[in-house]
Amino acid sequence: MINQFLFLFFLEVLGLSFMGLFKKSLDRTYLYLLSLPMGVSLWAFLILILLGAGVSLRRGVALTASLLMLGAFFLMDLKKKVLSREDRVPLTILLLSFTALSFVFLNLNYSFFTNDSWALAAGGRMIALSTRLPARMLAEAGIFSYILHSAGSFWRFDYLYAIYPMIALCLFLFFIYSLYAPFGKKKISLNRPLAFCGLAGLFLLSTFFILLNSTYIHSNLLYGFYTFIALFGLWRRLRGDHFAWLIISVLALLSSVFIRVEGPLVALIPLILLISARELSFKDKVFYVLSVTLAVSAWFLKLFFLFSGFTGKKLDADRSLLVILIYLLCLLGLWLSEKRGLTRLRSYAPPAMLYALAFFWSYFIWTKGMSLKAGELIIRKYGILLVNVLRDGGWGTTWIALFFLFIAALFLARFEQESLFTYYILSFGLLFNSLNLIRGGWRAGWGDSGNRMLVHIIFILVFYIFLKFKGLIFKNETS
Amino acid sequence: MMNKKSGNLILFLPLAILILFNMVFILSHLRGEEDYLRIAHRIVLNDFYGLHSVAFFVVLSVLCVLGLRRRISGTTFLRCTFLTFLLFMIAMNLSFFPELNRDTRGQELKRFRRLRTSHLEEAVRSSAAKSAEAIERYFQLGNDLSGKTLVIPLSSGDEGFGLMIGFIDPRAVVREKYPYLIGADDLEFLETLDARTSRFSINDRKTDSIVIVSEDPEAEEFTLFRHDRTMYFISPEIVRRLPINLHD
Repeated sequence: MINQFLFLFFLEVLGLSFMGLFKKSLDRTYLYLLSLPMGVSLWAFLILILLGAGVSLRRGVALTASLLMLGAFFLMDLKKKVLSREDRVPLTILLLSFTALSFVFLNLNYSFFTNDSWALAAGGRMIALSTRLPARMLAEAGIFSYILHSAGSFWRFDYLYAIYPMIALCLFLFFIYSLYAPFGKKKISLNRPLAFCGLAGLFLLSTFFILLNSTYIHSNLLYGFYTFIALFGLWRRLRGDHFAWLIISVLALLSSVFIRVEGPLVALIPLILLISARELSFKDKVFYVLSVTLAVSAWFLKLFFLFSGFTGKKLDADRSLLVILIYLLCLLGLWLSEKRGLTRLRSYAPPAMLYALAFFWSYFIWTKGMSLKAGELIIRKYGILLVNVLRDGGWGTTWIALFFLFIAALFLARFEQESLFTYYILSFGLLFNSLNLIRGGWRAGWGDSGNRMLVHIIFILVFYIFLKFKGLIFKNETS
Repeated sequence: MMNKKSGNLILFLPLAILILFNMVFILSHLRGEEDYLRIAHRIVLNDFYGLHSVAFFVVLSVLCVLGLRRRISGTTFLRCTFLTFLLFMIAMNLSFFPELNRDTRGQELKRFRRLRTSHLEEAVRSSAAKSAEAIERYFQLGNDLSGKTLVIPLSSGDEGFGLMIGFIDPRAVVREKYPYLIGADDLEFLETLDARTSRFSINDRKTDSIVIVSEDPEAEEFTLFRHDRTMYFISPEIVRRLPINLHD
């Protein structure tokens, strides 16, 4: 237990030392709330780079590399004189609370474990102990969670479970604070805004399936959190906030790419929205697109060689190459979007993306839907989705409420840079429909992968809805 | 020159029509023999939400009447409706907690609390051995399955029991003796209809004969086998000995 705690503490300190670099540009609460997810990302990327470089991972190598990374961030913090006297008290409180909560979650192991969870724990062990990357495993799921679970072998504990409730706690607090923070700048009493944001948090917490995911050893909640951070960071930068938000957004988006096998596909949505944005400088865009493209291409090139002569169900050599090609096309799109005469076309990119996704979805419906057998397939897939959303998925009334609230929200006053959220939600919805049609192994019940995928969008959707209703509730009080 | 609103309308109207068209197509299919719309309707009105939904609409109507009579502003009315709706949904969600908890976690929680991966590995090995044993017994009873394809739905998920990572494959244990045996995820699952009734179907493109090993004592109820395929069931008596979780 103590080893698992040490690992969690290491991630928190790593995240804090990284986030400390943005101390002057970001609200301190954000630094604290994002330290754990950023620590997780940085450590996972370190191991990913080592794996990509073909380093044979042994316990000593992994631990040394981790400590070196932490040391490097400490040095940067010292150079930037990040730690000041006024930080001592909040940092002490933060680390003490972190320790206390870690021990609570380590002692009360409420983790929910299914075959997939077991596969993650065992897959992590394989990464840590094997000299070769297992192709079959990587053709089915993203590598991020496996890397996270490899910590069990490096730090010598059985399996990682306490990180899930800790991450979920960060997510809820980050979600509530992100809604609440803008109120602090307005000259109004903060009690009602606090109640409003608390209500948003309560709405999520009252959803059984969200709570179940807080302790479920799987990738869905992590993915939902990282995509939320990525989109939120991008939104903040689009509104003119500090460049640090873009760095955080890149890290979060890359994490989401490596968490799920469909990650690279979904990550194209924010990338296209970013390329089409008029509010961002070319420098910002190059930084964002180039970082993501390089990281994704490098990893998928590794997968391309790994998959040679192997046919996977979800990923194989050809598809890995296709992913690289699509991301390189994004880079080309960015370059073209700045060409004189073509800049006007930029604003058409998001609707074009929606049309492309809608046609993609229509293609499956019309080609498959016309044949009797495949038509049945479509009925069942949508039928199961409906039954899961209404009853067996463990959502309670959440999706019914969200359906009505989303429709109502569309008619409310717009907020700044709202289109980023609307385009993302609609694009995700269309992509989800296509993925729903091509996936296999679905069933009525919370464990159905389509049902679990709804966790990927819910935080963004609820955030969007509450931002819209915030404008209505505090109509005369906010500018 | 067009203004922004008309521009947006022209840009998005075809998209809205396309999406609407697809939805109508799906909905018209959903009115097929399974009639999921009816199931959804039943869930909302009886099985799950029942009185809660009715109660909410009563409260909403009262709010509307009160709002109109007191002649409050539209904004205040919207604010009140939003907050009432939200609070109601939260209350309903919370009221479902015990039932959902029972359905998903229930008694298993205690078992998971002190779980170790070694326990799982052991459980999988034992499950594999017992599966092999049960099937062996089935053959000893004189049931000839030669030439048939045996499907063991050990897991309806893709990666069940660590198959993909190759640590241990319960199917492999059985496959050693019966080479014609294939795991459920070697086929394409057509659907699993309902976790509560355990009804499901499999689309097999490789063989005409399928045997399903199931833990469901009412295996005879397994339906949806169409296209003139033959279906065999290992008797519930044997099936009960199989410690297989069909739904994870």
